[in-house]
Amino acid sequence: MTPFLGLLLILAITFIGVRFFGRSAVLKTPLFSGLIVSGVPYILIGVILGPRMFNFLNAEVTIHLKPLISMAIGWVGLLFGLQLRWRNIRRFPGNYILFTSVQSLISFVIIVLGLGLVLHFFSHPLLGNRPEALFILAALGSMTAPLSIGRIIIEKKVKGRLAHLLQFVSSLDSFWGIIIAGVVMAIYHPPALRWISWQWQWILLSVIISIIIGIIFRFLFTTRFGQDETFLIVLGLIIFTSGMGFYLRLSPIFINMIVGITIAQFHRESDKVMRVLHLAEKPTYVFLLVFAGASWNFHFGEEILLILAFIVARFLGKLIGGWISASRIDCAFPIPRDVGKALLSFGGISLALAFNFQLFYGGFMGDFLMSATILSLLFFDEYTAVSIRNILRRQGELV
Amino acid sequence: MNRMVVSMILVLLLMLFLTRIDFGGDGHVMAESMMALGFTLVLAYLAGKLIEKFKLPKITGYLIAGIFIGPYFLNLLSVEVVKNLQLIDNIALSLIALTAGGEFRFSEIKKQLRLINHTIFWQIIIVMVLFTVFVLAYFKRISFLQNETMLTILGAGMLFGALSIAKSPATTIAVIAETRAKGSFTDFVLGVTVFKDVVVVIVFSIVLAFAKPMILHKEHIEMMYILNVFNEIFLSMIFGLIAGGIILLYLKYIKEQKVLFLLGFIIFCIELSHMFHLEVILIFMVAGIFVQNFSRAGRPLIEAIEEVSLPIFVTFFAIAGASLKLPVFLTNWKLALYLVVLRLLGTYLGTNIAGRITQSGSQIKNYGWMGFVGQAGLTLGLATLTLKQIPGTIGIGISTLIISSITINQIIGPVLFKFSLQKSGEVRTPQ
Repeated sequence: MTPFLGLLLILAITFIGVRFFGRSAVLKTPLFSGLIVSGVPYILIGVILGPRMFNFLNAEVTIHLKPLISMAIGWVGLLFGLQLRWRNIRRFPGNYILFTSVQSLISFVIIVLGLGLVLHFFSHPLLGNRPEALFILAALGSMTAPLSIGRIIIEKKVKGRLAHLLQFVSSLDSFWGIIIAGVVMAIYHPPALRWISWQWQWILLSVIISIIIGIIFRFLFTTRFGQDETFLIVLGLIIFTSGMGFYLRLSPIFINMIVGITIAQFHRESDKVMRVLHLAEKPTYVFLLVFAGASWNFHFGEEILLILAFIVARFLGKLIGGWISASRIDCAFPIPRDVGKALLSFGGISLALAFNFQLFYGGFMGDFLMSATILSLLFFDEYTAVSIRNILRRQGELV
Repeated sequence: MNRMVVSMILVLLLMLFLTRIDFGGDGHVMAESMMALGFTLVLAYLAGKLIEKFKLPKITGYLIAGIFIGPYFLNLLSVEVVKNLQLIDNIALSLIALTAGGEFRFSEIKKQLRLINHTIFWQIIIVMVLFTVFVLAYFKRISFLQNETMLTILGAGMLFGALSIAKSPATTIAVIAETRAKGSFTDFVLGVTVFKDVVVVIVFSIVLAFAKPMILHKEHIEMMYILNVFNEIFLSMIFGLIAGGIILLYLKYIKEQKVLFLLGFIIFCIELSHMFHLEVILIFMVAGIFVQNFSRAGRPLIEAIEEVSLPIFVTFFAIAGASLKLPVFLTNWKLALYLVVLRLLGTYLGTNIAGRITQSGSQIKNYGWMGFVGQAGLTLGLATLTLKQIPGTIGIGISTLIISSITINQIIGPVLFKFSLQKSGEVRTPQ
């Protein structure tokens, strides 16, 4: 199959997927509703179309569509960054931010330690020498997707402080994960330039360039543009920044997040960009899911133990992170100690990060990260949907 | 305006900085192409907005931006990157052709059918004759024809003429879309553009079939070549009707996500056209005409295309600008200028005569020709075909000169067309 036809196939699935996502009746299916919301069926479609089964989306197609994946990753990063408008965030109690950060960073540390311990005893020749994979895996493991909690709140019309906190945490939880991933990719950057002799200079370079791009575009968006013009400029911005990330071998999701944060601080401009980004949110997510399935190259024999270790470490990380935050941080209402169970859902940002790693490093490492992400998505999403309901019920916020 | 200029300078400086960082290695060109595409979109669009302030068409701004950042000037887009980005061309051309067909209303066009036919006929005859006579008279100043026989020179002259009658449908559509022009003058230019696109391919293949043995000193005319062209055109039209039918059914019964559907469908048709050697522009022109004239879905179709047309136009014309071969032009600029002037004269005379015969208004007679100056992809494609069919010095010489003249025609074409639309009073955007 040619790359063009591969793209066509993905477009067709995306098209059907967007229609499917848009139908609330399907989303309300009680059985496996968590899985349907997180988009697992699209991953399975990708697996069916990929080299493992029908080979429609083969290696050649995957290589040619890399720029589109990079763009989709950038899209996710920019959208996330735009949500981080300080004026909005500071309206919430300061301890909410602390709660989010503490549980996220603790989860990260526990996943790193847990996996590190497993690797110490079970040394995989390929994984043992690549600490960046470990850090990125822990970074994406520390994130929580807002889809499950958001859906339950909207569907069941939940109103309560815990639900509110969960929504806040899941919306901002990815911040530290993306920062860690961006920093790790800069630190483990292959030597490329004479005038960059220390790895921290890569971090500085990526932050400075991102802020400059953010300021340029913020400046540009103050001009009155029509909807189609705004769409063009946002499209250009995403392609440019994602391409730049790809080109500099820095994380496009990290760069786009910084660009998004910069633009977000300016009220009117960020609203314009956000409206355009939301138009393509669902197609982008479905595209990523299908592609994740197609490029999923699993080696169950070798990596399954490590993936299981990751799942356990993540579960423990979130549980302990939630427990410490709930017991140490005063959010002005009692928070159940096992709140971490409600923060286990996986989603688009984790997937985008896994893709980011696979694009840059590829090989066994990339496959391993992708497998860990997809299997976690399968494992955690249904479990989290049940956990959220149970915790909210116990708290008396869900009847 | 100041804000836009400052933004342009900043984006340009950033790109200059980034492209000076050379990493090499796998995926480098792909990453560079992607970054370049985003950069081109933003910069060319701003250039278009800026040039609009001087009452020039935006696409001239996109073209100039493309030339400026292209491989022969600032080299922010390398030859390799431009080549990669040209993959978008087919999708862009398909959308442009669909728009051209979608704007083509039989009810309006048939009022001017006589004028359109005469214009095409006289333009072709006069341009062909002028070029052939010019080449016969001045062959001593054309280095690659100096020592050739009269028969070869005659063949080359005919080919020059055949290549010069082509125009750019993309330019016409882009300027009409930008100015939102509507009226009989616009319909006239559009009608000639759509019909001429088919006629040009036929005329060119006939001329090539005759000129080839004259230039290469062969005895037989390749009639099979002409038959193949007719076959391709016929099949493309049939395929266009089927494509139009599918688009129509979709717009009638499903309606949702039209843009996504159109993009997917276009990709599908491009693949099929490669398999069966069909003309993608023709397929979508016919499809657009079918939807517009045999259903009520013409408006929704145009609206769906308009949703994505801006980035497509910007990318297409900026890349077209970057692909213009400036070194080729600079070495042949004198001869290229002659060709441009001759083509302008031929187009003016052809349109004017057609206007007089059909007793059309002074707008058609005086300004009508300005709608047919722009040249781009189609002519480039035909020039490349010439090079393939007539290998050697003469083929290279003809295609090089034609490519040089395209550089000028493509820059002045949109400006003249917008001017003529303004003169006709059919422009609807505030000037």
